[in-house]
Amino acid sequence: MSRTSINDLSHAEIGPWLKRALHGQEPLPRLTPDERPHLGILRLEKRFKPAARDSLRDWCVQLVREFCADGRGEAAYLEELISLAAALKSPEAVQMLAQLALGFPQMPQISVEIQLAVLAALVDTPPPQTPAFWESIRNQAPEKYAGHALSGMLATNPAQAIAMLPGMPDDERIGQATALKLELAWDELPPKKRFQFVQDVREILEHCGSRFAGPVKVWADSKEEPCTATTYVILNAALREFHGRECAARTYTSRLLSCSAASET
Amino acid sequence: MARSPYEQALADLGRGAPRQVRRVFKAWSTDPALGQVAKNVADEAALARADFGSLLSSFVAQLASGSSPVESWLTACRAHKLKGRRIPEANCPAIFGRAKGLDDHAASISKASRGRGDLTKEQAKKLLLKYSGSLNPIELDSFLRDAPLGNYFVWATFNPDDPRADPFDRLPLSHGGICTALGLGGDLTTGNTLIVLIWNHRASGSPPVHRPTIAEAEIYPYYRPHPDADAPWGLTQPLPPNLLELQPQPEVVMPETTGQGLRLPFRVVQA
Repeated sequence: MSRTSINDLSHAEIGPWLKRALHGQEPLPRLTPDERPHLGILRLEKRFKPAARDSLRDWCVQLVREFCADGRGEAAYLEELISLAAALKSPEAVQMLAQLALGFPQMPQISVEIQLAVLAALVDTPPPQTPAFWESIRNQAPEKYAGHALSGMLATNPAQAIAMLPGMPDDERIGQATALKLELAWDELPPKKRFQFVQDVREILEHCGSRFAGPVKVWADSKEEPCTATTYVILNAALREFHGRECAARTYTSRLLSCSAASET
Repeated sequence: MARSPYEQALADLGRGAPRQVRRVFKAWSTDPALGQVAKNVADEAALARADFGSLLSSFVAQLASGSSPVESWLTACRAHKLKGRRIPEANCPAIFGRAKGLDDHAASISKASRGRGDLTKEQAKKLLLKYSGSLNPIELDSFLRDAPLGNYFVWATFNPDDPRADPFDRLPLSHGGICTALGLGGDLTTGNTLIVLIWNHRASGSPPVHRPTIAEAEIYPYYRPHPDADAPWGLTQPLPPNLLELQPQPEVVMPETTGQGLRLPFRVVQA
């Protein structure tokens, strides 16, 4: 169905169209033949007329409501629906998914895969859930949900997230993922808070399992490594190139990091 | 004049069915995307006669069951994957590459990390942007290698002149140049940042490599069947206007495989 004809669909017709599209059964503007359907729907949505766009968003919320009511649906379809709802950032859909997550123990028909997809969407989609929410999720099943609970907590309360580290499963792979999450959180911190953040992580690692702590320690160490002499040589060369030799300062030292090898060569 | 493979397959269907198939494809001709799909079916040369007949027969059966034409075509295609000629293992290029959407690959990394670290799609996307071009993406490396290179199937290209070389070395670096050469996505303007992935075929488990057919392309309108029935692989159709006069690139498909053989660095290419 072409873009023009979708714009001509009634509100009632857009719902079934969306369901088929999420199942990969409608032509969509895909970048590659194997691209996920929700990405094609999002491209299409940007070109819709306002009425069709509103209908699509309403129907997405409605489909999320149906899923939250009974927890049923084909896995591939639910993955696409959750991804679309996250991308459209509907507060109503986010709220429903958050309520669903709190009630996972009462919905055993929802597979762990889909539960994790829901939690990932809640981490990625504003408004952020509260620290109490993520604490509650983690407490449901720490071995299953600790990874996303940590991500959610990092986005809202980094100090509390660090306090969660000793409760993480003692697994190297989870340690690697945590190192990556801490790196992203570090990137987003104001520079003056970064040092303390790393110090707090470092201090708590002794209370963590060794397999988990290994990769996290490597990350923490990487944040405290002094810049090498090579770093300053490259910087010096770049400054000379930019300003000319006469203008280049003779030495470059960092106020933040101790490094004695900052002399000009 | 000899009948085309499509006409032969239609003739094999028996009474009534060919008319039904033609009616659907004629109806699709008014839609630019589906019209191209119908044209591709008529131009397909890589399917054996029996497979082509089976594909169309399955399509007719789905139509008869009351499914919509598009749904019927998709169902038929999904039952006839990897029927194109297989490149013998001994002749397989050592290095393959592909370009895909950044969001799509971030979703693949996120899904592959479930229960094993749980990176979200946005986290994966930020990490891909951060470590694009890096030879040492620290802890991201293992998550990259666990993620599938495609969804259900992997579309790939290679350098036929030097099958051990990075196929993107001979393509433009720009987003537009890559999309043009590989025939990706047409007039897409939003949400189509690319990631370029290169991998060693053997290190990725040597999955069987096939010439693509209309069955893998399903309803993707930028696929073009290679007219030479004997060609071992397909060729992309560079997108117009193709101001750089880029040549068609080799095109193959293989079953979904992970990035175990990924060669670093990967590269994110902004639109």
